[in-house]
Amino acid sequence: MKVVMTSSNQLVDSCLLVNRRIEQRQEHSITHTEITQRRVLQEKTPDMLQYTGQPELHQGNSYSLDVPYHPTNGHQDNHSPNSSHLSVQSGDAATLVSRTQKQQTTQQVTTLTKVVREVHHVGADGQPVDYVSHSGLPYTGAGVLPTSAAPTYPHTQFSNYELMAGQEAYPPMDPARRYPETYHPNYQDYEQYPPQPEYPYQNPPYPGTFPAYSDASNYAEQPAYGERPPTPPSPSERSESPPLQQALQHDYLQKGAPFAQPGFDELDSTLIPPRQEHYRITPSPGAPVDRYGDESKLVYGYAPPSPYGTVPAAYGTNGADPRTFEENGPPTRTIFEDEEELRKHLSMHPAIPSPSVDDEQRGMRWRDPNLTEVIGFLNNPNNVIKANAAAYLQHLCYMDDPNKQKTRSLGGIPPLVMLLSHESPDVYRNACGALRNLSYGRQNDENKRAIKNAGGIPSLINLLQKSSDSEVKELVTGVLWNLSSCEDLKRSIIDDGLTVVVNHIIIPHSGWDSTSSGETCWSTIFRNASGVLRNVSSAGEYARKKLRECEGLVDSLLYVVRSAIEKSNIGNKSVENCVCVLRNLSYRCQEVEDPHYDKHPLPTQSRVGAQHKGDNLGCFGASKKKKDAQPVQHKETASGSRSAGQRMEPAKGMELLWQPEVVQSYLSLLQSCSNPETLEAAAGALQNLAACYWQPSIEIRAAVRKEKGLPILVELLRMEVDRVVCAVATALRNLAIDQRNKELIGKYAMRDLVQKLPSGNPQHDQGTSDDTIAAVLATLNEVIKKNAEFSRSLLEAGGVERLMTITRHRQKYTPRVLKFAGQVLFTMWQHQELREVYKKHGWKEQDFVTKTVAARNAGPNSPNNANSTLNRPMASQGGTRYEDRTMQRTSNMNSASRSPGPSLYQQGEDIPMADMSYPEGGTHAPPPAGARNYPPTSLAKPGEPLYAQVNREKKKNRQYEAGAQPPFEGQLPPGPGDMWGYEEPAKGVVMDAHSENPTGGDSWV
Amino acid sequence: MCAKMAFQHQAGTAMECLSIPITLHKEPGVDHEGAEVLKCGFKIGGGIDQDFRKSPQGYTDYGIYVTEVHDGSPAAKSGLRMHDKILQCNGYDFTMVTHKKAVDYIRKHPVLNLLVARKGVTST
Repeated sequence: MKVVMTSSNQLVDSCLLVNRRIEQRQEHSITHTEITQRRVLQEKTPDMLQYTGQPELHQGNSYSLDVPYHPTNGHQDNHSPNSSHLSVQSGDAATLVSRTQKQQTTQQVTTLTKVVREVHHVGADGQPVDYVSHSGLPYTGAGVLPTSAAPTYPHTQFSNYELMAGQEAYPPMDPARRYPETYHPNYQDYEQYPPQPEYPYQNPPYPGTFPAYSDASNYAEQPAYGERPPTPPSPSERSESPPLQQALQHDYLQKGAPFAQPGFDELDSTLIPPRQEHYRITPSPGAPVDRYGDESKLVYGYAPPSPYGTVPAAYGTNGADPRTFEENGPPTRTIFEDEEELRKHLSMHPAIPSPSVDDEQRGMRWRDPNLTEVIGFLNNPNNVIKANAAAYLQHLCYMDDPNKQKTRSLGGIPPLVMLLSHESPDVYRNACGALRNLSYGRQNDENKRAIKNAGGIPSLINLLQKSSDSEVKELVTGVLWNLSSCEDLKRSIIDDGLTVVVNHIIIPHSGWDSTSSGETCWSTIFRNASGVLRNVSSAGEYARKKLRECEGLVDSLLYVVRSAIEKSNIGNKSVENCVCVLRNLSYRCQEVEDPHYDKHPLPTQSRVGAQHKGDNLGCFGASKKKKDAQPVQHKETASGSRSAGQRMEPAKGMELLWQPEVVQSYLSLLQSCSNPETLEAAAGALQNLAACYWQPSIEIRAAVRKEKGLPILVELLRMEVDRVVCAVATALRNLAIDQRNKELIGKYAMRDLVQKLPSGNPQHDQGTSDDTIAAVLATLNEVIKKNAEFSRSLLEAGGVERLMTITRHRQKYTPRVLKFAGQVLFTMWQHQELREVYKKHGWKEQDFVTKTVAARNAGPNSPNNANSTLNRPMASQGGTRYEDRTMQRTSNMNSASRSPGPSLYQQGEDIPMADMSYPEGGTHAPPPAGARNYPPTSLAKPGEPLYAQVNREKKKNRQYEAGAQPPFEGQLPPGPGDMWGYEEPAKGVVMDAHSENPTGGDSWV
Repeated sequence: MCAKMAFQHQAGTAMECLSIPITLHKEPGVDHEGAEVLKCGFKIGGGIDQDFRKSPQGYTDYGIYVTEVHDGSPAAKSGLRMHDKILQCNGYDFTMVTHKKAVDYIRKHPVLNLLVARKGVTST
C-alpha cells in the first residue's frame, strides 16, 4: 500500500521521486516474490523461486532469451528450453490451467497464459483477499476490456504502469527481467491496457487514482496477474511455437512489471529491461531523469495498453505470434505486440498523448521519441541510452517496413553497426536486435545492403567470435541469416564469415569433431547458422567451391544428418537447412574435377558403365517376391561388391558428398521424414548426384538401386506436395540413366509415373506443376526409349491418352512440357513393332508425330539417335538462375501483413536452397532450326539428367499459407514434424517372432 | 471365395474382397526410450519377408495381421481387432509389404486410414 502511494507521488514528481519509487518498488517486488515463491514451490519450478528473487532474475533472463531467439530465427523448431519451462508450469497446476483457459476465452488475452497461471496460484495461496479482489477486477476488466471495463482496469493497470515506469526508468536492464512473477504483474497490466485503447489517454486519471491504487497497487497488480494467468492459452503453448510465443508473451507481460522490480536491481544485461527502458528512455531524451518518470510512465501507459490489447488478439489467432518471434527478441516481443498498437498510438499521439499526460498528471509533457530522435540517441554518450535507443528502434521496426526503410534513410544503420563493437553487452545486444528487425523481410534488401556497406558483416562476425553469450550468438546468426537472403551479400558473407560460422558454430554444434561429445546440439544458433549456409550455398559456383573446401563443413553436415536420422529427429529446421546445403553442394559436383564437364561431349560408355556395375534387379524391395528374380542374397552380394568398389581410404571433406554411403542417409530421410522441405532437398541431392557423368555419379545411381531406393522414390510420387514430387520425378529421371534402374522403373513405376500426367480431369491435374510433368515425361522417355515393352506398358497404363491430353491443350502447358510430351509420343512411335498396336487403339501416326517433333528429330542429334542425349552438353546449369527466381518471388510476396512475420517467410523464402535449374541446353540439341523459344530453364530435354530445382514460388506460397498457422515454424502441414513424424522405429519390439527372420516378430506400432 | 482370397492371398496377385474401413487417430505416448511418440496401441505380425507357417496364430498368407490390441488404446477405440488383416494403410497396399515396411508406414502418419479384412465379417 505504502509503496503504491509513494509511487504515485513519485510519478508526479521528479527524479528524486523516481528513486524513491524504486525503493518502494523493491519492496513490492519482495512481497510479490514471496507469493510467487509459494506458488512456485507448489508448482515446482526452481526458476520461479529465482524469479521471485530479483538477483536470480538471470535465470529468468535466459528464459526470456530463449524465447527471443526463436523469434529471431523465425524458426521455432528448437524450443527445448522454453518449452520445458512451460511444460513444467502447466504440469503443476493443471486445474489452474483449466481455469485460465476458460477465462481466456472471454478475455482475449491468451498469450499471457503462463504468467497468468502463476499469478492465480499466488492469489489463491498467497494473499487471497487482496489478490482476489484485485484479480476479480482485472478479470472483469479483461472480460469487459474491450470497452466498458476500462474504468476498473485502469486503476490496477495504472498502478502497475507507474510502478513499471519507475522501475523502467533504469533498473530495467536486468538480464533476468523476464522473471515470471514480476512479469505477471506487468502482464496483467498489459492485458488490461490492450482492452482499453483509451488507456493512454486515461492516464491522467490514473495518476489521480494512484493513491487508491497504491493501496491495492502491489496486490492489485498481482491479482491482475492471477487473473491473466488463467488466460494462459494452454493450447498454443503445447505447440512448438506456442511455447516461444507464450514465453515471449510472458516476457512481455512480465517485463512490464518485472522490469520495474528486477530492472532496478539488475540493470545490466537484460534485453528486456533495455526495452522497457527504451520506452522510458526515449521520452527522456530531453530530460532523462526527471522526465523519465513521467515520460516513461506515459510511454508505458500508451504503448502497453494498446499493444497488449492488440497483441492478445493476435496471439489468440495465431497461437503464437510468429512475428514477435521472428524479428523481435523476447524483449522486443513485448514491444512488438505493442508495436502494432504503438503505431496506432503513435499516430494518435501527436494530438493526444502529451496533452492527456500533461493535463492529468503533473503537467509533465512527454511524447514518444520519433525515429530521428531515436537514431540520435544511438550516439548518446550514455550507454544506457544507447542501449535503449537500439531496443526502441528494434521495437519501432518490428513488422514495419516503412519504419525500416525510414531508419535507413535517416542514417540509422551505420550507428547501429558501430554499436556492434561497443564494449557494453547491452548495447551490442540491442544493436543486434535492431539490426535483425531492420534486415528482416524480403523487401528490405536495401537495408541488408546498407548493413553490409556500413561494415556490418565483419562486425557481426567479430561479435560472433568474441561473444560467449548464446543470446548474442543467436541474434548475430539471426541477422546473418537475414542478410544471407540477399543475393548481393552472399559472397561477402562467404568471404568474411564462412570460416567463423563453420568453425565456431557448425562444427562444434554438430558434434562431429572429436573434441565434442558427439551429440548434435540442436540449438537456435545452429539452426540460424545452418540457415545462413543454406542461403549462401546457392550463390553459384564460387559459393559451392568455398563451401565444399571449407574444412569440416561437409563432414559436420553429414554427421548432423546421420545423427538426426539415428535419433529420429529429422523434422526440424536445422536438418532441413543441412540437407539443403548438402543438396546445393551436390549440384554439379563433377565440376570439382572439371568445371566444364558438361560442355564436353560425353563418352557414351558412361551410361553403360553404370549398368554393368549393377548386380541384380533386386532392388524393388517390396516387389521382390513377385519378382522372382533376385533374392536377398543377391542384394547382399551387390552391396558387398559396391563397398569393394569404393575407395579403401576413408573419404573426407567434400568427397563425402558423392560417396555412395550418402545415399543411405538421403533415402532414410525420404522414407521417414515428413518435412516437405527436407524431402525435397533429399530428393534433390540424389537428383544432383545422379546427374553427372563421372564415376561417382555412376556409383550413386547404382547405390540408390542397391539400397532399395527406387521404391522409396516411386512411392513419393504419390505425395501431395508437388515440389517433392517434382524433385523425386527428376531424380528418377536421372537415375534412369542407369540401365538397370531404367528397367526397374519401367517395370514397377510406370503406373505411378503415368498417374502424374494430366488426365484432363481438373481435379486430378490440379496440384501437379509443369515442372513435375516435364520430369515425369523425361523419365518416361528415358525408360521407353529403347524398350518396346515399356512403351507398350505405357500405352496400357493409359499413357497415350494423357500425352494426347497435353498435346491437345497447348495453351495449358509450358512449351517445355509440350515439347517433352511430343518427344515421348515420337519415341513411342519409333517402336515399329508397336505401330500396329497403336493403330488398333485407334491412333494414327499423326497423333504421335507432329511436324515440329519430326523436324526436331530429323537432325543428327535427334533424341532417338542412340546417344544423342548423352552427347549433348549438359547445358550450362542454372547455377545462378535461382537468383533470378528469387528476385521474381518478390512479386509473390504478400504484404508484410503475413501473420508469420517477415522473418519467417523471409528466411524460408530466401533460403533458396540451392535451386538448381534445369541444365540449359538439354541433352537434345536445339532443333536445327534453333527454334528455342522457351526460357533457358526449360531447355532440358527429356533425355538428359536434370538438376534439382526448387520452385521457390510455390514454396513461398506455401509458407505464406503456413503463416496463418499458429506456429510459424511449423509451417509445414504436418506442423512440427517432430510431433509425430518421427516416431522411433525402434519401438517395434519383437513379441513373438513368426520366424527367425531378422524382421521377424510382431511390432508394436 | 472372397474370404479365401483375403486370407490366403498370393501376394502380388489381384484380389477383390470386402473390407472394413477404420480410421485410427494416434495418441501421444512414450516409447521405451522415453521419447514422445504417437502410438496406435496394436501390434502387427507378418509381411512378405516373414514365414506365416511359423506364426503362432496360424495365419495363412503373407499379409500383415493385427496380433494384439491394447485395451483402451487408439487402436481399440478405432475398432481394430486382433487378427484383422490389414489390406491397406493410408492408401498403401499392405498385402505385399515387408514387415518393416508395414511398420514404417504405420508409424509415418498421425492418422491411419486402414482397410482391414476380418474373418466372419468380410468373409463367410
